[in-house]
This record gives sequence, structure tokens and C-alpha cells, in this order.
Amino acid sequence: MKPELVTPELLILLFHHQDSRLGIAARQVAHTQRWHPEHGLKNISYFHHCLHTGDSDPHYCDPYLLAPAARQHSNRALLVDRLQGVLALPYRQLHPWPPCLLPASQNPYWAIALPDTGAPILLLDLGRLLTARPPHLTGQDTPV
Amino acid sequence: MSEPVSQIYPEILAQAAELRQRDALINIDEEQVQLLIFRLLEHTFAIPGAHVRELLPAGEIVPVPGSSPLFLGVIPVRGEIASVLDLARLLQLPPGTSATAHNRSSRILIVQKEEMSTGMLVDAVEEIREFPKSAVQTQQASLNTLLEKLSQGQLLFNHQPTPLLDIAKLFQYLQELCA
Repeated sequence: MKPELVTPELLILLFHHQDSRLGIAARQVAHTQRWHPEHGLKNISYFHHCLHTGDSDPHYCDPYLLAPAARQHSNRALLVDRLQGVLALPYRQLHPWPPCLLPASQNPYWAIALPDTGAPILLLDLGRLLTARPPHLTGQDTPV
Repeated sequence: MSEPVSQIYPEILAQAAELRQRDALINIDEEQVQLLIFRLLEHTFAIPGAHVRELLPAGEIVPVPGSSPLFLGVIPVRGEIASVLDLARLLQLPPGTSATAHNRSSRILIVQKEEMSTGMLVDAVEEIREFPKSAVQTQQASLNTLLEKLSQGQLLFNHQPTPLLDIAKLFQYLQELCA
């Protein structure tokens, strides 16, 4: 009898930004919470600000807060759009980040997943994302 | 009265043989280089065929939020990932005229030099063939400064000046921008 093959999988939280599918390793997230305006914006970083997308007024259809599991780099939570839950990605679907898309020192992405179906998923490091903030956004971000 | 046609056959055939021999001599003596000619907006460009790993129909490009505006995004290529360069933007061609993936003739060229590779969106591939090396002129008076920096010469293709892009210089320039 052949031994059963065990394929390691990475659990990610899947969310969207415009037409892109993005993921953060679930082990980097302590908890998630649907965001409401009464939660306020203290200690919250908008995803689009962290990535310097240049989009000053994005519309978040279904904002969610992701609280980082490790708080040694930041005590801020990340506000993302359209959180779709947890997805298990077999390691074989993970590919290294192509060079030159972003300067290495500012790159919060670490890999791209090619699932068997659907568009590629861009994988982000939550710690790098929360700490790589532009100097002019050290205070409270603008409202959604 | 003119001489009969049959009498000038040998002369014609001798001339034909001489021309063939001259062509053959040129082919033997002159080194050939395989070039891929493509169209981007109103311009034609050439790149050495040796650096073109693949030629793909332009499908959906996945945008990467926050990435350099020089890149349109990424595409899967048979289980691997390739970035897609906005060559029009890189070469500082007139603004607002980026190539689009929506044209039926659009293609993504996967170019490679040693460890570096990227996709380049172009409006159409015009031709892939061998040119005599002498067809590439190093004088590039008509090119802008950046294009001159990133090309290794130019040739005439369909009577149009066609810069020959230097892939090594292009990758080096990209690395400088992304450092």
C-alpha cells in the first residue's frame, strides 16, 4: 500500500482591491472584524494607503479589519475590502515574486499563488504592509 | 533587326548565375541576425530574436496594487509568473498612448536575458526574420535620448526607422529604477 502523500498548504485570508485578488497568511492575523463607522479610524491603516496606490478616495464596498497577530512592528489594524474568508493554497501553487515590480525595500508582497482555478492571488506580508507607510500618513487616515 | 530571343538565353542565364553567386557571397560573408519587429503605437521597434522566449496572445493582465507604473501587472505563463512591462511608458512615448491588451493583434513578448525576464505588451508583431548585420546602423540621430540609451542601433523596416532595443540595457535600466 502506497503511503498517503501529504501536501502542505498555506492558509490565507482572501480579499480584493479593484480587480486584484490578494491574500495574507492567516497565521499573521489575530482576528478579523467587519468595520462599521462607529468603530472610528484610530490605529487603523487603509490598505490602499499602505500600498501608496495614489487612490485618494477609494470606495470600500465591504470593509474588514485585520488585527495583526504579532504586534512588535505595529499596533495598527489593516482595513481591507471584500474579505472572502480563508483559502488553503497548496505550497506547489506558490511562486516567488517577480523582480522589479516594486523596489525591494518597499515591497510588501512576497509571493504569487496560481490556484487551479481563478486569477492569481498576490500574497502580502502583513508586517511589512503595516510598517511601510509613507511619512505623511503617520496620523489618522482619511475616512472611507 | 534584333537578335532572336533564343540567342540571348545564355547571356540571361549567365547574368542570373552571376547574381545568385553575388547573393551567395553576401550571405556567406555577412553575418545575419534574427530580429523580431513589433509595432507599439505609431512606432516600430526591433529586438533580437534570441532574447524572445515566448510570444503570447495578450490576455488578461492581473494588476498589482502599488507596483511601479512601468508595469501593467502579472500573467501566468504555463504555471509560472511573468511581469508585464508597459514599454510605451518606459520609453516615454507620447502620454496617454499606452498599448492596450484589447486589440486582437496585441501580443505579450516574454523576453529573457540570463536570469532576468519580463513580458512586454506590444500592439502587433510585424515580422520575425533574419537581417544582415550591416542593416543595423549605429547612428541614431532621430531617436530621443532615452531610446538612444536603450537601443543598440536602428534599421529601416518598411522605410521606417526602427530602433533595435538592447535587452541587456533595458533590464539594467529597469533595475536602476527599481533599486
